[in-house]
Amino acid sequence: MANTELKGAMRCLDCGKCTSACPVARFNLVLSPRRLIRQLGCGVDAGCGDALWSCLTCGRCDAVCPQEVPITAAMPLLRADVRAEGGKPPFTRCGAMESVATIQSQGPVPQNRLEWLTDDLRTDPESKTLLFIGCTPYFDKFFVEHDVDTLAAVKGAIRILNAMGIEPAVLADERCCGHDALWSGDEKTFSDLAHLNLEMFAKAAPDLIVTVCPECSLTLGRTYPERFEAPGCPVKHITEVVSEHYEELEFTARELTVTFQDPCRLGRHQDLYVEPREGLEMIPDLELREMPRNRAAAVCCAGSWLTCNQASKKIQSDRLAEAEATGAELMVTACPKCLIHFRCSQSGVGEEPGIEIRDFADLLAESLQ
Amino acid sequence: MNNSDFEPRIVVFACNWCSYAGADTAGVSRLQHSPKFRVIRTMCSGRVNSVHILKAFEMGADGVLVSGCHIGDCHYMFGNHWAIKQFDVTRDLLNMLGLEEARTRLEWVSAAEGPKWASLIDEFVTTIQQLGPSPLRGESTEESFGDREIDMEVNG
Repeated sequence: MANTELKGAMRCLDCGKCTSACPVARFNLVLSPRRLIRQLGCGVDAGCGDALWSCLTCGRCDAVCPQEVPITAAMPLLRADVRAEGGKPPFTRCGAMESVATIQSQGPVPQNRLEWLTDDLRTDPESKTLLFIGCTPYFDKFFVEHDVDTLAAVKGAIRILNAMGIEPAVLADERCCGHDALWSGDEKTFSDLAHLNLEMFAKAAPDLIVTVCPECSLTLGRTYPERFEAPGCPVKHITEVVSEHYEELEFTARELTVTFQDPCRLGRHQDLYVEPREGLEMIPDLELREMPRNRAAAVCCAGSWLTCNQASKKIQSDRLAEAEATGAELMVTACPKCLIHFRCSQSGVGEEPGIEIRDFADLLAESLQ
Repeated sequence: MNNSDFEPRIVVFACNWCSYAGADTAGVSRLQHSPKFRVIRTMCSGRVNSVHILKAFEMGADGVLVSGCHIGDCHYMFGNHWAIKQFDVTRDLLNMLGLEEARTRLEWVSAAEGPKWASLIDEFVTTIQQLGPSPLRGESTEESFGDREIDMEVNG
């Protein structure tokens, strides 16, 4: 365990706010952030068992901690330690998505990842604005049974950029950003993917990288500079781009009531609470109704490829019910993972609230004038 | 690499009830066929999901064959229907990763079809031999392919 994180753990006052706020601890007694941090502070080996893998790293604990103990940041390090000692994450679907990322990290891969591009989506390989697609084409193929359509967000982002007069570049040899590898403690795959992507950015030399997935913007924009090097230009999530360029975009009025699900990577990890709301309110007549737990208090979609159990389902159905109780017709999110995990939850036994879920960029592009 | 020097690494998943027995029939009938494959017995072709095939390619396989009971003959009634569904999803993922379609195959071989097994294996080995090493091989070596422990766990 790295020294700095241990020092952070020593600051813990044992107040237990983290565990009271933790969405997982509410339903899964195995995980208690307080216990984990106390064990670390006392030098007890906490890196074992299900507790470590059931954490969503959503950052809810960090947001309430009065001592600023870096609980979430300790997770990938603890997990890497466990994996170095031969421990294995209890991957959902046996780790198929991890395998896709690992294959991409191993060298040149002749990917066919742009087959969904149609002529009406204007792109330009010479453009200095790069749209980072992320794993969305793979998600749509893999989660075909849940009809997730995460590419709708990418297509929406291209339409929005086109409306701003930008024809973005999309790259065929883009790799997974490595977010999931990093957070599940797979340092090697993360580092290999990061270097391949950084090499690609150096070649393309963009002025701006836009992502539709907040995990990608977090990883490219914050983790790469911390761990390796910066991609050489700003990295922005599509919600930021929209709110900065509000003057260039015009939307048709829609009498629609929506609620916004703050993705953990967008909100708590990147402090982007205002931007998506500004974006939504640019649609005339649209009414945004907040859920009681919003912004820094928002509940995560309970999705990770590390665990999916009764606690995850309970978190999801509670959140869906909360969204439905606002009276909104739509729950808008800005992360493909939220879309996948909530849709999966809804396509289960049919008892989950059936509120429609849409991506931010998809909804905005549909409302463009 | 010259294709004639190339030793393909082929993984075959065969179901316990039909295809594995079919392979056995081919063996006891002394039907000559290529030995260049590694067979993994599963209880059902439906047990072979995306990750088994992806892992094989991740570890350096050049071809993967999944074989089960004929439709209607599945020991578990509908396992092979599930195999088709999962195989299609896996193939879509592999196609996106840039893998040629001929490197993966789903076939039905019954316990009595020894000759079919022998000719299927010969045909598949020839196809992979002609295609050469997999583009997804990475830096895996013959040793790492044979020895690497499979890091896989089943989770609900």
